Amino acid sequence: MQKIRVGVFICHCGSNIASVVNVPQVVEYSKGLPNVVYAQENLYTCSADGLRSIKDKIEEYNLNRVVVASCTPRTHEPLFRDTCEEAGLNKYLFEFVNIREQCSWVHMNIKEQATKKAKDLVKMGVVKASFLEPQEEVKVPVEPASLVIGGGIAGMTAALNLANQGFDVHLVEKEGALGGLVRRLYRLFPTNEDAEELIRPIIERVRNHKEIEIHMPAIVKDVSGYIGSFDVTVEEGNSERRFKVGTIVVATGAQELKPYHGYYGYGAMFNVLTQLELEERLRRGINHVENVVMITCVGARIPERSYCSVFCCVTAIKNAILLKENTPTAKIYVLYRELMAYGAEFENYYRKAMEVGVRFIRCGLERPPQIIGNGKAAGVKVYDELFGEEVKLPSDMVVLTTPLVPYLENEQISRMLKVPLSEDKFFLEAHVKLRPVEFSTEGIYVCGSARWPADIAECISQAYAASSKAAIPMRKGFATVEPITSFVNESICVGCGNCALVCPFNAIEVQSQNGKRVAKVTAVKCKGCGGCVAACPSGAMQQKGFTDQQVMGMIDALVGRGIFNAQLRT
Amino acid sequence: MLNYEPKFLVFCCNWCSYAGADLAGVSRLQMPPNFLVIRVMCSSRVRPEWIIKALMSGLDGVVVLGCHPGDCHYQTGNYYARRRMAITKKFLEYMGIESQRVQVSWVSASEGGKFAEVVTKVTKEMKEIGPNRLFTDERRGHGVKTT
Amino acid sequence: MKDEGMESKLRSEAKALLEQGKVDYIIGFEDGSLKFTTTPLMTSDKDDTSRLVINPFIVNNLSVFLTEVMGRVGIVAKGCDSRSIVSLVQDNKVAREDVVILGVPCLGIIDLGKVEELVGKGRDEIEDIIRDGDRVVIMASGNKREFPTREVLFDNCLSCELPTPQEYDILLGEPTSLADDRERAASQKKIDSLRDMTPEQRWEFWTSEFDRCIRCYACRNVCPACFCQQCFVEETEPQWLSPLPRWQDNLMFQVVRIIHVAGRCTDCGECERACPVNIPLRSLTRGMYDIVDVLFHYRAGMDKEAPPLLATYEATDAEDFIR
Repeated sequence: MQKIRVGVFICHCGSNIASVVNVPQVVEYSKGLPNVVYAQENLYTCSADGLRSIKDKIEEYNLNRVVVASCTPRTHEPLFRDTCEEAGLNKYLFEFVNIREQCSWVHMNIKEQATKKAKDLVKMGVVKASFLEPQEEVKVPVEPASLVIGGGIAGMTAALNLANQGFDVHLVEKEGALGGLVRRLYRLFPTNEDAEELIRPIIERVRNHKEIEIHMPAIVKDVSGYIGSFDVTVEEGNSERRFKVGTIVVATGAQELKPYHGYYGYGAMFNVLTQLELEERLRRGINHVENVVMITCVGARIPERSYCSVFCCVTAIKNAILLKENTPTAKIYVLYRELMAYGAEFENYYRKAMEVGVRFIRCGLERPPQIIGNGKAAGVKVYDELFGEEVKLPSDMVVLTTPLVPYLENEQISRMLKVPLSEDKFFLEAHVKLRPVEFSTEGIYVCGSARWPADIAECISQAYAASSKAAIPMRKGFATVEPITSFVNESICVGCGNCALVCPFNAIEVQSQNGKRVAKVTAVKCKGCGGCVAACPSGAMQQKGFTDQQVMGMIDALVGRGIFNAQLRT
Repeated sequence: MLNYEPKFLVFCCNWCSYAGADLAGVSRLQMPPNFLVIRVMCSSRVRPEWIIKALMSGLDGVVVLGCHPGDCHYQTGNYYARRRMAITKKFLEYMGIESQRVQVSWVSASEGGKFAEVVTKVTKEMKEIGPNRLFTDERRGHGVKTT
Repeated sequence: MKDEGMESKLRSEAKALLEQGKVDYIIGFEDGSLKFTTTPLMTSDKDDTSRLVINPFIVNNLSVFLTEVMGRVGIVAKGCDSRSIVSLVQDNKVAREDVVILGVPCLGIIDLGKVEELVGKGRDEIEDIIRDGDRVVIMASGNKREFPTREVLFDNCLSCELPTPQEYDILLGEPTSLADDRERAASQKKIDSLRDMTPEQRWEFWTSEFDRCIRCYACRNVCPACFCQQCFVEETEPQWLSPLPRWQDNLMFQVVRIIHVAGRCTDCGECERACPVNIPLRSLTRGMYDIVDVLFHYRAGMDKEAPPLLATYEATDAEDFIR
């Protein structure tokens, strides 16, 4: 049996650690820990010098475990692991000890205690490292095919981007036509170009692309599997189609909120409509309308729905300008609480609206506009906050600007794909800043209004981003699974199945083997949460990299028990 | 109990509470040094045996941190942890162990402040209830110091 | 229905099951070697079924044998025992179709210790104990004394939630009901006295109790909910417990065991009865039972389709303990 030879590298991190923790003392302490055959300090372990020192010492001292005590594994763990691998040491025989974010930076004025704590943390790290086993990354093949759910502007852009790179794309659209919301629009801000003329060529390209197979109208009924091989079942009419894909792009978009009956007269008065309904009317062609009152934030930025839907203000501005062009003498009022017109183009657009004579009246949440009329909205009363008085505006048409809201199907899709929804029930990305177009679940990406209300430019950008990310594993041909997966000691497993029940990824199955029931883990599906381990009373289930022996070893070392008892110094 | 420094464990889940702890560090929020973090991937990995062994070994307490319900990186892990921790904590209290010695909290990746707050408050509570003598041999008059 | 009626029905049903090859074994009770005791009977011989008995002393929870026996089994089960069987089905330890449950509507099991204390006489001086509905007649040294039945029943029988199995294949008698609220309170006396103590006193109590524990593991061995093939105490990597019966390790053993069987324990009381040094284990197991009931409104063994307690969750699970 090979003797464990641990090398310990304590980082100064410039003065981030060294100004609080007595690094040389911790190095000396480390040398006295069992299994440690080498310990040194580094100014910056992540620098070229630092990394080289690790590689050199692995070779010189024949180290078979490496401990680095520095910042947080969330920054440099992959780097140090790769360094070990370059020196010929299995990259999973490396342990990271956090003595910066969780020690020196938070105990700045208590240096002695911080140093003592750093010693304890290093001691725990050395024990953990001693119990680590070499692991092989699991490589899974990736099918060079993608499922794109949703045939709107985001979905089509993603589909084209993938198909143009040579990947097969299955595009599933639940309606009878491609184009999504854009199909229902009249003109687009801020250029006022024709929506149909923008979307039609894109639809044509999608329809004619030989790499894109369109399923329409159809819904995704079931998805199982994992990155590289998702098994997809699509329900098209009366029949079912099954196929395999490597990645999935969620581009299901969102829908316009329909106000409830009576909200600002909607449904009760025939001339009260939403912006989208107005667009449809404009497409068909309308007569002159003399008095128009538009209200923004209808059903948005209220206690029940607190978010801003980003571009509805600009939509109102757009339609206000169009109506003014339609009827130059018209009196058009936009009643707003705050006006969202981000970016230079939209500010200019807003200014243009004012220049052509659209009037903007600021009102508040406490005193909302009141629609006057019976069966027809004849006028609107509103308290003008800047003017400080109530005004009464005549209206031939009242237009309600409502936000985009998630489709109810999001819940079902979320459960089917095992991806999370935010509190507002839009899809929730892995990280709002660093990973905005993918889910934590590998191989599944998201773009467009499915994730958050997005205008066409945003939809297209995000679709390019999501599909480019999806292309990476498909181009590589394989994906790797971090080997912190769980595994079963079959000789003591009794097949009770508690592990399988708690697994969020259906990675565990209880099977019959030689007349005995036993749990089996599909490593490629396992995401390494460890919930199955805690659910197993007998200890048959363990998790690589987080075994009970490793964790208990850390606790034992801390209290000075076990093999570390006689040899500890504080 | 005066002038005793408690020593307790904090189990942090990789995606939320560990990140929250890191954020507390990045924000330089100062805290007492009495806690030691053990990282796990998910709060659902934490098992009662660890908690009881830690107390048996003389550590003054254990804190288990996880993601807020609904936010678990593994979707449902913290729901199972919630149940397991509930029965563990309540049963230990039923046996007579001080409720402050085993604590659970939800700390998200953006809640550096909450991490600092939890650690500071727990340290204070540990100081108030005094060191863990629950499993010392002197209790039963056996005389031999083991922990 | 009288015990004798159930007994004869049991014998004929059990014999028929074996004769027709519907089961490979029958597990039930036969008279014990001591007065007022019974002992488990496991047989594949149809003639042995004539030894099967039903009386107020069929105390054991026979479902513990289900995980050891291969093949199909006909098993005698009181209400509480049937819950243990259901719990085993929930954990896939036993397939429902492999078990023929011979359900016994139970009127409660008589605790000989309580009888001896009431009459002030030992077992050998007691000639007979006859249950007649809610009165029990004790013949001792030629004297006849009567007591309310509930005064001689085991504590956990007093708070029985399911006297008649709701999961069964053959019911051997008319369904019975048992405890009323007053009796439930009586069964909790020992446990309530614990709750009245301060935490310090409670801990002191348990540390002294577990000083006596010899780590015989009878409690674990007799418990149907303990179904692991290798118990955590046998694990060496890591070694959770020292094999020496130090009170600290004894306490940890029991605490972990009770947490492991949380949601599986039906408060059958076998652990307490099996303990050779009379540690009041039921006061602990019932504590967990009540915690599970209060927190999750869950009672073990009532629904064979339900997932095990810790393998499921509700969005509304208790959060009051979370800071």
